[in-house]
Amino acid sequence: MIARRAAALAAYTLLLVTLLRFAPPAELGARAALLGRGFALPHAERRAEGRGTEYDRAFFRFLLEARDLLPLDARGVALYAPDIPEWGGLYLAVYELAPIPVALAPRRLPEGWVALAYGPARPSGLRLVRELSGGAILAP
Amino acid sequence: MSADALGGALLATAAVVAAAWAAGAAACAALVPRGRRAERIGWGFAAGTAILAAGTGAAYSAALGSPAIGPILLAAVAAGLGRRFALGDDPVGTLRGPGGRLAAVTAALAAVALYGLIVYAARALAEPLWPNDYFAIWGMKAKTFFAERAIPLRLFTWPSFEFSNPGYPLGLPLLYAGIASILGRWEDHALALLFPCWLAATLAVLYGWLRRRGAPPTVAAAAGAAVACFAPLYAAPLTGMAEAPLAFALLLLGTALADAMDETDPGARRRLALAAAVAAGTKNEGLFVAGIAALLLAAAAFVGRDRAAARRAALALIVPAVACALLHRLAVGSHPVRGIDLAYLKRPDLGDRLAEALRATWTVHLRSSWLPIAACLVLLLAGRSVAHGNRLLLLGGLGAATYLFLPALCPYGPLWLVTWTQGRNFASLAPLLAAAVAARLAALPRGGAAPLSATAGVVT
Repeated sequence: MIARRAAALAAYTLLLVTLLRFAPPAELGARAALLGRGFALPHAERRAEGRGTEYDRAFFRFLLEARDLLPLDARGVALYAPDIPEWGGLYLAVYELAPIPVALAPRRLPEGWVALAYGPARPSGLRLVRELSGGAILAP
Repeated sequence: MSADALGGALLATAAVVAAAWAAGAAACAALVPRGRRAERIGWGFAAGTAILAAGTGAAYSAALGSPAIGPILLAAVAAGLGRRFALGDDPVGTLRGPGGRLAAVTAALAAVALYGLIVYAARALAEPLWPNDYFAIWGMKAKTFFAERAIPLRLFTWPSFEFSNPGYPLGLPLLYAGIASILGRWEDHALALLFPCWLAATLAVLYGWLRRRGAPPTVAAAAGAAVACFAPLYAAPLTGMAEAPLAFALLLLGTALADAMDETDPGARRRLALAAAVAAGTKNEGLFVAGIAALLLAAAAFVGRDRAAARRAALALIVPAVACALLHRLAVGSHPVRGIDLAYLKRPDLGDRLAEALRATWTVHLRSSWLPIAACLVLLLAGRSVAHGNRLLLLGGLGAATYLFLPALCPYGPLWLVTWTQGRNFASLAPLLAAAVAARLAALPRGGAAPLSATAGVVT
């Protein structure tokens, strides 16, 4: 029994030391500082400076601008952003624009929908509704 | 202060969560025996969040003008039931704490657990919820529910929303939407407060259950310290997603299963019923592990020592889990699970795919972590066989074995599932397996005395 207890104690010590290496005080300090800074910022700024938008922060600002300027009767948004990856990029757009339904680069626009194009490329056959910084709102 | 300042949002969200927790704790009078404070705290959080989610879902279904009415009514009913069916004192009796040097060790381990909780809180709250799966699945659904005051079918029927896994349970999105409905606004930064609460509730149930089942405070605190510092589960990239809530639900399920099989107290089967509903409502893996638990109970009902207890427990488990799954299908239809195709079971290359899955598991997850995994195996083997610990071990072990096998059925190739979901699934078993290992270690005789778990009354 003593051997079992000694083995358990040694194994637990090793396990706990290993786990604690992944929770260093430096991480706590850095995250607490980030949280502290957040108290002085509005939500959009906290989001804009966070991990969720780091692949292309300009895209997030484009989304915010577009959200405020979408036609009131738009039933959905078709998003054309060929340089933005789905993972961590386009899904952020789907989330930020919710509850407005968002389809990623559909071939045809459903009735009542508008298109959001990010970047210089524009889908053909659509007219410009509004120019935005980094993109445009378009409609059939 | 601007309208969307973080401080105000955190305070408002904390008030809603605290109110739900208090309502859940009131309901827990009928679930956890009097005097078991730690377990009542933990189960209270489970009941409170379940009330918020179920009440919000009911309000949407009844098309109530204000969805916040649903959780409020349900909380009143749950508190009333708690009072009506309140349990008496725990048959185990009073638990005494450690004395002398062990008290200092226990205090040190409790401090480590608290440190782990604080680190996780800082990880979760440092910025608005941001993981990709939060955006694509949990957050997108919840935000849409909240804004439309309904569960719009388009999220589940339009092919363009297939990425959001329409077959996933709706417990978490309904919980988020319920909090937003009560607040009257969408707050995806302050919502992160829920995540350290899930860890705190996990630690409360883990410690309380181990103590009630005879573990010394030092062993229970050691289990808590290890779980609280378990970064693969309590990590920033998983905050907002279902893994931490699922880990909590699986711990509830395992401990309630062991208690119901032993009929430790009159609340055991009620806890099992709640745990089954919470697990099935949180994630498909929760429903799956509830299915494993049902199989264990079925086996015990045929060959176990107390077959009647197993049958009663099976009923308590199966009814809410099946009801949860049926309600989901009735509300939004049936959807295939993405990433798993059972047709691969019949393919001739299943063996090769399984070998590829095991190789990938070793390369992606196990090779770099072999030392702590070896330490866990030593802890497991150093303990002594004890029925309640073995049940948790069997439940978690069968779950882990299935997670090893499932990548062989992935249509995108085994490596895809191993890389993107298997590690998270393993991690969500951690609190359950920690409870199993600690229960077995607690069964070691101390200095020639009887095993701690064998003492029926006062334990030290």
